[in-house]
Order: sequence, then C-alpha cells, then structure tokens
Amino acid sequence: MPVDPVIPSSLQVSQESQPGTVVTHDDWSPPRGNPFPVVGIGASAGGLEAFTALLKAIPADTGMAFVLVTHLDAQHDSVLAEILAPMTQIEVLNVRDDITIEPNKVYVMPPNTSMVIEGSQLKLAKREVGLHLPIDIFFRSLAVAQGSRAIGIILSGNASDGSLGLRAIKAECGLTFAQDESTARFSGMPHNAIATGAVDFVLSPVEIGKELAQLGRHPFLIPAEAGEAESETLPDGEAELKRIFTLLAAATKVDFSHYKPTTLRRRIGRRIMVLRLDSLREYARYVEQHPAELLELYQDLLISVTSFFRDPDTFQALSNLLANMLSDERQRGDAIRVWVPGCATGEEVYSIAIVLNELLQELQMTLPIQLFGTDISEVALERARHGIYSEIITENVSPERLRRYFARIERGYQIAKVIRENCVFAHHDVTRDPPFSMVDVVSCRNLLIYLDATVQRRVLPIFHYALKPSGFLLLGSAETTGAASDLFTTIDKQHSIYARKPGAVRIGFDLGLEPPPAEKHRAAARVMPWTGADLQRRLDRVIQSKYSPDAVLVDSELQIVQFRGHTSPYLDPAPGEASLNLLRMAREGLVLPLRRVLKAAAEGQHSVRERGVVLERNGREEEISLEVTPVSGEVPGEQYWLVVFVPSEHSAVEPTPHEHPAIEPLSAESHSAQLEQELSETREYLRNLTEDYEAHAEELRAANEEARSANEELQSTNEELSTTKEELQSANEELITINEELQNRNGELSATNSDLKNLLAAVSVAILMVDSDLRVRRFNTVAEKLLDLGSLDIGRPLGHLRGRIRTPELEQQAREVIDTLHKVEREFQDTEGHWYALGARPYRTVDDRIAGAVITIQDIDPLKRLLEAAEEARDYAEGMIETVREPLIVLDADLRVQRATSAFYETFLVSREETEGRFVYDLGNGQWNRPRLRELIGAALFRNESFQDYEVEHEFPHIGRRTMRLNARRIPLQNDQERTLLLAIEDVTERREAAEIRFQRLFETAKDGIVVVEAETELILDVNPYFLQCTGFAREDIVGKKLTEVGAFAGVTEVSNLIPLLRTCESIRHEDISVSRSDGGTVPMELVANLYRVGSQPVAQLNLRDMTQRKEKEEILRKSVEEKGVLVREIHHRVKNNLQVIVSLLSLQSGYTTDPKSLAAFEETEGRVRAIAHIHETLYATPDLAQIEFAAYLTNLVHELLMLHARVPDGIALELEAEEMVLHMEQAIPLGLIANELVLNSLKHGLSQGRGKLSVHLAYKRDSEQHGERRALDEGWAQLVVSDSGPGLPENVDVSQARSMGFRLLNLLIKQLRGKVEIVAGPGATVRVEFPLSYQ
Amino acid sequence: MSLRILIVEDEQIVAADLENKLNRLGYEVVGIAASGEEAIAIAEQVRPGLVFMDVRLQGAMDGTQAARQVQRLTGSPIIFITAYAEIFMRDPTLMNPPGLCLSKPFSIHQLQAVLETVAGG
Repeated sequence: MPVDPVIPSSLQVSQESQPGTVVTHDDWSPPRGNPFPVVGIGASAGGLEAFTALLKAIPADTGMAFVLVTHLDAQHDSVLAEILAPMTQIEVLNVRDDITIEPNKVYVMPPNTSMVIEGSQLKLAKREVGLHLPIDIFFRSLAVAQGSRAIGIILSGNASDGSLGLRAIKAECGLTFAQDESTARFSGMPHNAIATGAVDFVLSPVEIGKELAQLGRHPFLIPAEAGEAESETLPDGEAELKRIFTLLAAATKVDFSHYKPTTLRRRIGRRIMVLRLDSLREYARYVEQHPAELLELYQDLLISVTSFFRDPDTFQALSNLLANMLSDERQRGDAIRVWVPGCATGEEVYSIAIVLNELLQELQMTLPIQLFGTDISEVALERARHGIYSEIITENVSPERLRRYFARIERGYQIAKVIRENCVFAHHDVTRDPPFSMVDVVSCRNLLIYLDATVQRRVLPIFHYALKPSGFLLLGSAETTGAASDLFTTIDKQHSIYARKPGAVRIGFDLGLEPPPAEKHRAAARVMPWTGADLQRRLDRVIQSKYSPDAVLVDSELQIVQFRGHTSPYLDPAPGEASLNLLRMAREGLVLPLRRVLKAAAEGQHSVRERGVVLERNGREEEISLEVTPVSGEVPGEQYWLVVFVPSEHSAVEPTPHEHPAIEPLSAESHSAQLEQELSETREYLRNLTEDYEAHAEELRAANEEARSANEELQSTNEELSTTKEELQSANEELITINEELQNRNGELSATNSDLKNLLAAVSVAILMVDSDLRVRRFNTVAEKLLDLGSLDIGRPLGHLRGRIRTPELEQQAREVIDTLHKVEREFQDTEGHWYALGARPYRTVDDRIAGAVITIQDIDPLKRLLEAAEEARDYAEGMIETVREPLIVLDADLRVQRATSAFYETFLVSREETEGRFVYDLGNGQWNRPRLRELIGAALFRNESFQDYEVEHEFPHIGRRTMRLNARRIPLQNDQERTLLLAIEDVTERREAAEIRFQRLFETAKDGIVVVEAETELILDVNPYFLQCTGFAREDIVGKKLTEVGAFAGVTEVSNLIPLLRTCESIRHEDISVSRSDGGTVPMELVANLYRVGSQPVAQLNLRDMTQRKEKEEILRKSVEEKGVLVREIHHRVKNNLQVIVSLLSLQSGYTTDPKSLAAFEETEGRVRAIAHIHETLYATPDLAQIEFAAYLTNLVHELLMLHARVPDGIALELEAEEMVLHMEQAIPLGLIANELVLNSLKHGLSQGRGKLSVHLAYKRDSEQHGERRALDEGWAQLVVSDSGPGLPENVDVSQARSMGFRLLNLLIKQLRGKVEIVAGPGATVRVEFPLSYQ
Repeated sequence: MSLRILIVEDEQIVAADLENKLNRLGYEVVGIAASGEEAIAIAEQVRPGLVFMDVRLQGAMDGTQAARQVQRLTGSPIIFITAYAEIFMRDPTLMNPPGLCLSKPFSIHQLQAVLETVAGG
C-alpha cells in the first residue's frame, strides 16, 4: 500500500495560503470544487501550436473550463489571449486575480505570476524568484480543488514542469493527458510526464481535443444534478467488484477487499472512463478479457504522491523525540532502527534519515542507523532505490539540506550516498508479511486511512510487536490508534505520535483474516508446530477436571487467582463488597484452620496439611483436610498458595456399605489391632505416596511452565528469524542493486580509462605523472620519446631518468609544485639547445588530496624560432621606419603618441619627452588640433578609412610657418582591440611655393578665360588676361565685383545663380552661354565651373571657352549633312520612279508576246525589279539612308510573293521566322533578290499545286559557346533558309552548274555576298544560304 | 458595270502600262492626264468613276491638289500612285483628300487588290 497520498503534500499549498486552516481528509479524492470539470493545460516551447490545434478540436459546449498555463517571458506582456481568441468559438479570457471560472471558457495565465485554483476562483501571486514551475503549482492546486473532476494536459515543452502536477491529478482520480512526443515540437515535458507513469492518454493535440469532447459527456465526470457539487456518480455492483478483487488478488497477490470501497470505486470509475466503458459490469468483463488491464488498475490503485519533509511541524516534533531517544541510546550504542511501511517512492524514508543524520551530527555521535522502507509497489520501490527526484523538491527541502544531502544531476537531484547507504527498501505487505522487530520508530503516515477497521485492528498490534519498548509510532494527521488504543499511548496528539505501551501482545501471524486461496497452506504451516503441546495441554485439562481435588490458587494477598474443582462446599461469597479474598469467602469454621495452615506453609515453605477440620454443612458436621502448597510465580519473589480442600474419607459422604466391606472376623481384638496396624501402615504409605506424587506433580508443572516459556521464546526467535530473513532478502536485493551499480561504475571507469589513454596518446604534449615521492607513475608516448622512458621506468625516481632533458630540473620543479601547490610554468633548453615549455601542476585526487604532480613538456622550438623571426622582422621594420626621411608618428586608440621617428624630432625640433605618450592634439602649440583633422583621424582609426594628402598650414613653434601634408593609415594588428594609426607628415612648403608659381604662369597664358570667385562673398578675386581680351573689359571692371554686377555676364541667368548651385554639385557645365562684350556684342562661350578649397576657404573657378569658331563650323557641317540627306532621298525616289518605268516597260513589252516562257521571263524580271525597288523604298524610310532592317523587309517580300503567286489563296501555310538584322544596302539588295528567287522557286515548283507549307528562316549563326548570344553586325555569319513541303529538288542537283536564269542569278548574288549555298536533303526542298555579316 | 477610270501620270510609259493592265482586268480607261490642270479638265468632261493619281506631276499642281479639285468636281474616289508612299504612311494627313495608295512599282496583283477594295467595297 504505497498509497501514500496526495493530500498532505498538496495541503501544504493551501496551508501556506491560508494559515491556521486545518484541513483533514478521511477519504481522498472525492470530486470537489466546481460541478464541472476544469482542464489544466500546461505548455511551454512549441506549445502555442499544439494548444491552437487542441482548441480547434474542442467544441464550444463541452461543459468544461480550460486553464492554460505557459512559461511566459516575465518581462513582456502576453498577447496570447488575443492570438487564441479568433481561433476558437470558445471565449478566451486573461486571468485576473480572483476571477471566477465558468464552463466553456478558456483562461490564460498572465506572465510573471504563479497561479492556483481555490474553489471556483483563480488566484494569482507574484512569481517566486528562482525555479519557476507554474504548471506543477497549478496542477497540484487543481488536484486539491477539483479532485476527480480535474483534468491535466501536458503539451509540447522542454524540461519537466508539470510531471508532478500530473501525478497529483492522477492520484486524486483526475484524468491526465500528454501530447504524443512525435507531434510535439519539443518533447521534454510530455516525455517526462509519460515517464512518471501517471498519464492516461498519449495523443496528438487534435485527438486530445476529441477525447475531451467525448469525456465531457461521461456520467462519471458530470454529476447527474448539475449545480450540486457534492453529488458523485460511482460505479456500483457488489458482485462485479468482488470479481475484480479476486482477479486482482490472483494477479498481484494483494487483497484489496479490505480497502475503503468508495476510494476503490472511484479509482475503478476512472479506468472505466479512460476505457470509454459505461458500467462496472462492462469493466469486469473487460478485465477478464484483458489481463493487462489488471496491472493498469493495480498501478492506478497504488498511485501516490508524497514529498520530502511532509508536515514540517511533525518533523520537528519527531526530531525532538529522536533527540531524546538518541541521548538515551548514547550508552548502549545500538543501531537506531526506523521502519516506514508504505514508503512509496522513498521521500519519507530519506527525510527521516536526513533528520537522524542531522541529529547525530548535532550531538556529535556516531550510531549506526537503519531505515527500512517497505511497500508493495515494485515500481515505487524502484524509484525509491534510485533516489532521483525532480526539481520540485526544492519547494520542501531547504537549500542547506539540498546542498548537504543531494547531488545535483541533470533535471533533478539525487539523494546523497551517505543517506542512501542507511536505507533499505524491500517489498513487504504490512497486512500479511511478518513484521520487522526491535524497531525504534515506525512511521506509517496516511496508510491506515486506506484500510478498513478490520485491517487496522490487525496492523496496529503488528506495529506494537515491531517496536522496542521505548519505541514510538508516527501516524498521519487523520489517523489514530483508535482500533488498538490499549497498545499505544498518545505522546503528541497534534502530530499523531504514539508511544508503545509496555506489555506483550500475542500476534498470530495468521491474523484471523481469511487468507487468499493461494496462501492457505502457507498459513496452515505456521500453525503446525503447536499441535504436540496442545495435546499435552488437553490431556492435562482432562485429568485436572476429573481427578484433581477442589482447590483455589491465591496470591500473597490471599486474593483468589484461580478456582479448581467444586469449591462451593468450602467457599461462599461473603455479603457486602465483592471480594475474592480467601478468608472472606471461606465458610464458617474454615477461617481459623486456613489461617493456621497458611501460616505454617509460609513459615516452612513447603506443603502443610491439617486433618480433621470440622465443617458444618447442611446441618451436618463433616470432617475435611486442608492442604496448602506454596507455588512460586514467574517473577522471582512472587508467591502463590494452592489451597486444597480434601473431604475426609469418613465424613465426606455417608459411609457406604461396600466401602467398608465386611471382613471376616478373626479374633475380634487381634484382628482389629492387626487391621489398625495395617491401616496405619497403609495410611503412612499412602501419605508418602501422595507426597511423592505431589512432589512429582510439582516438578512436572515447573517443567511444563519452563517448556511453555521456552516455547514462547522460540516463537519469538522464529519471528525474529523470519524478520531477519526478510531483512536479508532486502539486503540481498540491495546488494544486487549495488552490484549492478558497481558494474555500471566499473564500465564507466573502464570507459574513462580508455578515454584517458586515448587522450594521452592523442596530445602532442609530453605528459608525465609522478607520485608524491617523485616516482614515475604514468606517461604518454610523447613523453616516452622525449625522456627516453620505457615501461620499466614506472616506479623509478624522477631524478634517475636519463634523457635529452636534464631531469634534475624536472625533479626540482615537481618538488616545488608538491610543496607549494602552485603550478609552475617555464621555458627551458635541452642540451641541444632545443626549446621546451615545462608545466608542472599538483596531481589532485578526486577527494582533493595531493598525490604527486603532473608534468607537461611541450616542444616550443618552432614557436620560439617564429618568435625570433618575428622579432627580427619587427627590428627590421623599425629600422626602416627610422630611416624614412618623412616624420612618422604612431598613435594609439586614445590618440596618444606611441612613438615618433627621429625624423619627426628633427623636423619639428622637439624632444622625445615632450612628444611620446602625449595627446596628439596637445603637441606643440596645438597645431594638429583641427576639427577636420580630428574627423579624419577618427574615421581612420575606427572605420579604417585611411586619408591622404591632408594639408595643414600653420605657424609651428621653432620652425615657423610651414605647410605639412598628412597621410594616415591604420596599422592592422591581429588584436582588433588595439588600434594604432600611422601618421606620416611631409613638409611640402617649398613644393607648394613652386606649384604656386607654375599655376600663376598657366593662369596668365591660358587660352581659356578664367575667373576666380570667392564662394562665400561671391566677389571676383582674379581674372586672367585671355578673358579680358575676349570681352574687351578692363581688369578693374571685373575684379572685386560680384558676378552679377559684371557687365560681361549681364543677363546671363546661368551665371547669376552659379555659386549657390556649385555648393550642391561641385561642378557645373553650360555648353553655350552668351557673354557680353564691352563693345555691346556677344561671345558664345562654354562655361565650366567648379568649387575647390584654398586652405579652408571655398573658391569657385569659372573657365570660359570662346565658342564662336566652333559654332560656325558646326553649323556648316549640319547644313551639309541635311543637304546630303535631301539629295539621297531624291535619288532614291528617282531610282524608284525609274524602276517603275522599267517595270512598266517590261509589262508593256510582255503584252507583245504570247510565248508563255517569254511571258514568265518578263514576269520574273518584273518581280526582281520590284524586289530592288522595295529595298530603296525601305532605305528611304531609314534615318541614315544606307542600312535597312532586313527582317521587316523579308516579311513584306514573302507576303507579297505569296499573294502574287499562290494559286489558291490561303492554301499555303507560311512559317516565317526572321531575326531582327540590320544590313547595309550593298548586302540587302543581293540578299533581297536571293530571297525573291528562292521563295519564287518554291511557289512555282515545290508548291505548284497551291497547297503545302512554306518556311522561311533568317537567323544569325551561333557557335555553341555563344549560345543565345546575338552577334554584332561585323562578326560571324547569318543564314537564310527557304524550304517547302513539295516533292523536292531533283537529286544531285548542283546549284553552281544549274542553267536556269534563277539559279544563275542566285550564284551571282551569293558570290557577291561572299556566301555559300547548300541544298539540304529532303523531304521537300530546302535551300540554305549562308553569308558573312561583315561588310567592307 | 465596269468602272470608268481616269489615269493622272506624267510618266507616259507608266501610264500606258497601267492602262494596259486595267484593260486586262476589264476596266475602261476613259482618260490619261500628265498634269493636274489637264486632269481637272478631263475629269470635268468624262466624269470618271475612279481616278489613279500620281503625286508628282508636271505643271504647277501636285497630285493631292489635283485630286482635291477632281474630287470636288466628280466625287469619285482617288487612288494615289506614288514612289513616296512612305510619306503618307508617316503622316496620313498629307493624303488630302483621303484615298487609297499604290506604291510604285506595283504588280498587277497589287493593282487588282486595290481595285477590288474600291469596286467591291
């Protein structure tokens, strides 16, 4: 019964929020809270998608309320509700504090909060700092609030939030779902939830939605009377229930028939819902057919939730009690033994172990501790043994305890070894298996509540038996020892702690329960050893009742303890207060003799008899004997007296005739004397005999007593043994577990070992490990070579090694490391001058002990050499810089001078001290502190934009006014953080002066007018002689005035706004402006103006070129071209007109002949002439009158020929494809005629019937490499292909030899084009003409 | 009924050829003029049903001027025959009065097509 239920752990939640409220449950998980189911949905990463799918699948009227709990970013407001609202018909609300939930609505948790449900309200609290598990928190409150009307769903997400919450819901008989991992974007949360075993359905979100819709109508989920929260529908049917229990008992060996029935029914009801069945009857049938379901049900019945340090107050009380107990135990040194029946997943066991551990440390004691956790659920035990718990335990376990007693592992905590070692977990059924014994504490919290009174009455004596006399029992808050209050006294009522009452209780291990059938002979076997003693006892009883004298047993106070035989003749209850005092009960006449005899017996400590005591009875006097025998009690010093009443032979009854048979009389006297003598002898003998007998009887009785107590002892030993056996089994089991663990550890170790080996072999660094005596322990192959080591060297002192490397040095380093614990790193050279880096660090074992040193030796010779080379290169570079004539300075990122070359000091006559390390703008008299220069240097340093030839003209200290030209470049260093700038400074003062003179000369002699204007003021600064010469103005008319005031530019708009425009576009050009002359005329001039800086001053320069002559020339040229064009057009026209005359002549001439051949010849010639005329016509329309676009021409030509010669209109299908191709007239005319001939030929011969297909293609010839690329006119070839679908040309026709006019013409024309002709093989006739495009 | 046609063409060989072709096609040529003035005079006289008009003519008038007057007199449709056809194509407003245009040199089939347009249309 690991049913170690939910309530306490979840109660903590409510206790925290409502201090002072004590909630007790004597039954768990009834449906509570709202009359409708509340569905908690937990999702995290990837959850929105899943949740959306889920919502879409849910109809609007499920009658359920949905609460969505997600991991939201604490820093941002959530728009989740707004996102979801349009996707579903269900109303979506953001949760406010104290919102009352209603069915058919979706509630979305706001970010940065933690939320619980209380009754019908959702409560928000600020999110706690640290680990945030909102889904667990909400689900657990949901389980408490809703009981079996809670539904939990875990969707996509990482980590394990929600798993424990889901388990809590399931423990309260709620329903649980998890998203199918394969459909989840992130499977961590569903995976962990499924791993808890508490998930009923693993489905995709859509299927979950459908399942919810169906469940919503299940009678077990919805109360029959809506609105009545407490009503509950449970499956009924006694017979079915019994059947299920029988099956369960057979399958699991656990008899549930004494568990509380409502609980069981509710759990079974859940299974019915999950399986979508309707009644218990169906379920019973289902169970019979599906044995696997039994195990499911079993797990469900055993589902439990527990937690660490449940009810902290109880733990405090327990701790106090244990502290007292421990201080008592101090002397004895016995182990402290604790038994936790129903330990479930072990939290309670570990909690007590931790408390004990803390106490022992506090008291500074070392006592062995043994904790037994027992349960019937193997699943739970398995988890308990592993001792791995999720992060949720941080809620109940203080950080201090977490740190001390848990190891942080991935996704949770594992109980520390020191605690785990003290705990044994074993399978054990408290109602059936023999108990443990000599236990100090039994903690059995919340187990009894699941058991009915019958079983409780059986279990409590077991606990009593198991406990030491000083032991105590811990029960759950709702449990009492009511069923066995005689066995336990209350120590702490509030925390349900009970002490064992002294006294032995016989516990039969056949506990009066009808054992399950399979167990019957086991129970019987336990009774067997008792049969022999029983027979003996029965026999004793028979003898006693039949032959023993009437007697009573009194104690030392003369209180009657036992009556034997018929004592009524001697004893009579005295009137007055009831009393068992022998003397008070004795009949009259017996009191005195009794006193006498008892006294005598007490004095002698042996049996005393008095005869002849006269007792009056029924009016007659009787003589009796009294005999008192001392009987010692079990406890030494305890004394009992056996008082025997013996009626006298003579007076006991009326003497009967046959008792004294008439003896034949001899002589009366002698006979009488003889008889008397005989009688007295016999009497003496009889007395002896009686005494003998009594002595034996006494002995026998003592032996019997002894046997019985031995027996008792044996029984106890037997029990102990079977307990020990159980313990051994548990221990064995644990050993197996430990063995397995060790095997794993072993495997891990060998893996680590091989990792280590490979690592050592893989590194190129020599590694050598020495122990604290500096003896070699381990080395890798590199070290082997370097130090000339072999396997024999292991164990040799480091100092003895002989290799290339002087080992005394190593030894010294290693010694130093071990002594100081500081690692050492240095470089050294071997005997051959080879460089190595030596590192030595202490060797720390896992438990942080120093056990030697690890020495690494790395070959850094190449590095060293590189370094030397680098240093050389640096020296070289520095030498170069120093020899450069130009001054150079290097600036760092803070613009301080890192260094300056000697040229710098020479040029500026400054010293190193007043330069290096100073801010560049502070140098000298601030000569470099110029805004523009600052800008440039900044850009150069931080954007890597080097600048060139920036000039500074300044009055320098010591050297006077100079012009310096600056060039800067960022020096690329590997480390980008360190920016440095190289600034080269060149004194260009002299050069500038020379340039000035050259410019002046140019200015004076230029054959362009030049006007220089100050841009700011727009005043003319200077004008050159040529401009004055061109315009006839004097210098005074122009210099010092504004551009607009100068007569030469009067009315020239291009000039009036020139300066402002120049500021925006640097350079302006006007081809033709009209500049006035002083004599009133104008000069056409071209104006080019640009803006540049002289120092910091912007200056505009206007260059004006006299255009008079050029314009005149241009005009002449234009006119001549125009005239030529007109002329050419006229010529074309005339040619055309003349061609018309020729056509007409031919036409008229043809009228005078009737010979069809001649007529055809005329007609053909006419056509040819027209083809030429067309070229002219097309040419006429083109702009340059010499080239035509041939494709358009060809299209016209072919259409016209078709129209002219096709016999049947539209009978011929034309396929015409012509690429755009510009040809010169010299090519166009021959090609036009060729096309004319070929098309005509096809129409006349190939297609003479007037039907068929004609195709004409004009295309550029393309090389394969230049595929798709059109060639320029002057490269490559083009081709014209004409084909028809007619019968084809005669075979072996040779175009060049053909005699007809057409072919002759063709040959001539192709020759003219320098092209080729080819007849392509049929079907039909195809002629291809190729020609080069280039035209000379 | 066959159209009665007036040809205005200063190139006599061309005019003769055109007449020849028209006759062959079954039309009646009722007059040939070499200048605009002559054309107007003949048109007034013979009232042709169709006029073939060269654009360049002898004398002071050009073909379009002549055509305008002839059309005012007779209302007959005009077919311009010209080596300058592309001028009309470039600027159709120059063809005043509007009419059909036959580009020189033309074949009998082109001629036939134009005639069919006028007579049949």
